[in-house]
Amino acid sequence: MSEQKPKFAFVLALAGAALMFVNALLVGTNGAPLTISSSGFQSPGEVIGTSATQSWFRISFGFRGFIEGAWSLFWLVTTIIMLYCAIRLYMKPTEHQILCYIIATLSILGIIYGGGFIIGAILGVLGAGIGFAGSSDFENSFFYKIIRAAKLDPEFYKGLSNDKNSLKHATYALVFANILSGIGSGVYSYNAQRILNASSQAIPFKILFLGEMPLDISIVGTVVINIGLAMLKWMTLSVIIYFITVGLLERKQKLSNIASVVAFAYVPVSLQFVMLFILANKSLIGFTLPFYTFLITNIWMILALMRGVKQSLETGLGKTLGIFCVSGAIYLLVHETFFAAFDIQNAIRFTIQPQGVLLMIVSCLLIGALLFETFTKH
Amino acid sequence: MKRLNILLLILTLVAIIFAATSIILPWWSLSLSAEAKIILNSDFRVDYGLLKSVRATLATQTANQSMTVELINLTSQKDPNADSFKFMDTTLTLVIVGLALSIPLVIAMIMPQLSRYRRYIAIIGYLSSVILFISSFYFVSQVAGPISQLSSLTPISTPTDWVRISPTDITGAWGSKAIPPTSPLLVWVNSGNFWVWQPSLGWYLAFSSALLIALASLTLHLNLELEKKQEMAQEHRMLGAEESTNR
Repeated sequence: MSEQKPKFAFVLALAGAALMFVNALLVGTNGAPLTISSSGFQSPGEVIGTSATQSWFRISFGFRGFIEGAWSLFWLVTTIIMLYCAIRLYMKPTEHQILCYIIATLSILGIIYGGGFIIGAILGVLGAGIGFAGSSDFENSFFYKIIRAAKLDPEFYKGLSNDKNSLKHATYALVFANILSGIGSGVYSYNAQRILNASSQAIPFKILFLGEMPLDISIVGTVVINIGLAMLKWMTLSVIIYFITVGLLERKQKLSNIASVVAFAYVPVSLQFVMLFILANKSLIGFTLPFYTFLITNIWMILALMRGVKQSLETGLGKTLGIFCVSGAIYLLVHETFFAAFDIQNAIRFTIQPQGVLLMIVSCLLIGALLFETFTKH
Repeated sequence: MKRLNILLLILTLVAIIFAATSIILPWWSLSLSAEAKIILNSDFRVDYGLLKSVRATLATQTANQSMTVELINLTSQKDPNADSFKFMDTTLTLVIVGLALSIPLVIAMIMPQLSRYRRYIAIIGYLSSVILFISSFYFVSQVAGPISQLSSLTPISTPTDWVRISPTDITGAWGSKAIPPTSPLLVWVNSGNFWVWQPSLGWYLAFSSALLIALASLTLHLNLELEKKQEMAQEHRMLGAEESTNR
């Protein structure tokens, strides 16, 4: 690697380290996790009691039991090491590989004390990922591609067909996004079950108010199954879009190109990782909170997919929407009959019930496809 | 390297601000635990500062009270310079010395003409950092003894139904007193603390300041080595070029 300064990686890692330093300092001073909650209350009974009426949620930065006393000093020192590595990355770019390993490791470890309000850890990992590729090649680095994919960068999606590494990086992106989403939703689901099935008030009290984070080895299984299932969904969606564009619309397109677009479009799903920090009481925890988290990340994913398909097929918006309506209708049917039927431990899943509603949505999508003149050949 | 200098300047300034504000902020505190705060819907905190002042705040559903007194008022001694709290003066002196030693770092970064003294300035920076570290660790190693000998931990009396805490309960800089097994608070938590004590914001700022100054000095030092290596490499190259033209 040349001595050229990896400025982008340096700025990201430095900003991440600074946020993590502030987070560690505040957690140390507080002696407990930092908590932001939706509203105050007079008594815990209003939130977790048997006659609780209030809808309440909280975001907790830091896991109780790992941040008190000497731990707080340890975390503060790690943030300074991270700061040093970020500065060193700028001063001596030739050492980028070892420095980026340290930055990434400390960013991930930092999640224990709040991960620099989550943002710090994300910036740290992205900075390390981009820095790892080196300054001469950082635009082709995996993490830079992830940022561009999430930003819905049209040039990025357009250039995927000419990038020889696109399918490899797309597969990594898919796995990466689903590891994060699997951890977030797995831990959330495990804790939600503990709160919903609690035999005493002490369990929800400790999890919700004190920021305790009980974990179970079964969550690892959830993450692995989540990746496997995501691979199947990816292949299904890619094949559906491929057959519609190539078979039905007679467009020249490679399956690998469509598969790359679909996999990169999965990147926003990684934001489901924030569910690790957010929990709520009984009135929100079962449906509302995961539903809105999934809704936001999946709408983002659909927008990324639309941008990707539009750019790679070089079609107008109407045609793209049409392709989406047909593919969406077929994918929904496959998803609801096959993927949604899997009963995975600690996984969050939504099904469309009753079946009449599913058929109505599918019908609407197909009518939409006709209105957008998807099947008209120009 | 101009950008690096600005970054180091910012780091050092932040460290100096941290160390300076730590003098007036509390260094040690006793407060209700997170679980007790939530269950009682109350807050109580006693902060001990390096300037030997004690501030107590109590907020319950029925009353809000705040009081600041001199530390001497919580002892049975009458002499404000009593031996037992001399450690606070020592800590204060160490913080001030550490703070003063960090100033040359800032001057060296602002004035480029001092660049040839950077090696010595980095050494002074290391010294400043070490002194601030010593002040932090000296404080936590000493605080428990004198606090445990106070006649009372707080100038404000706490509600009578709260778990009692006496100065003799304080056995270390960090610690807690558990909710007794008969307490009605255990309806909500099967185990937990009522009181917690630990170093406070001022102490954490002084500790962070020591870390930041160490980081700035180390970077300055390494940058110097790097520049020297680059100069030597350039000289080597120039010599090589000269030799080849002579040939």
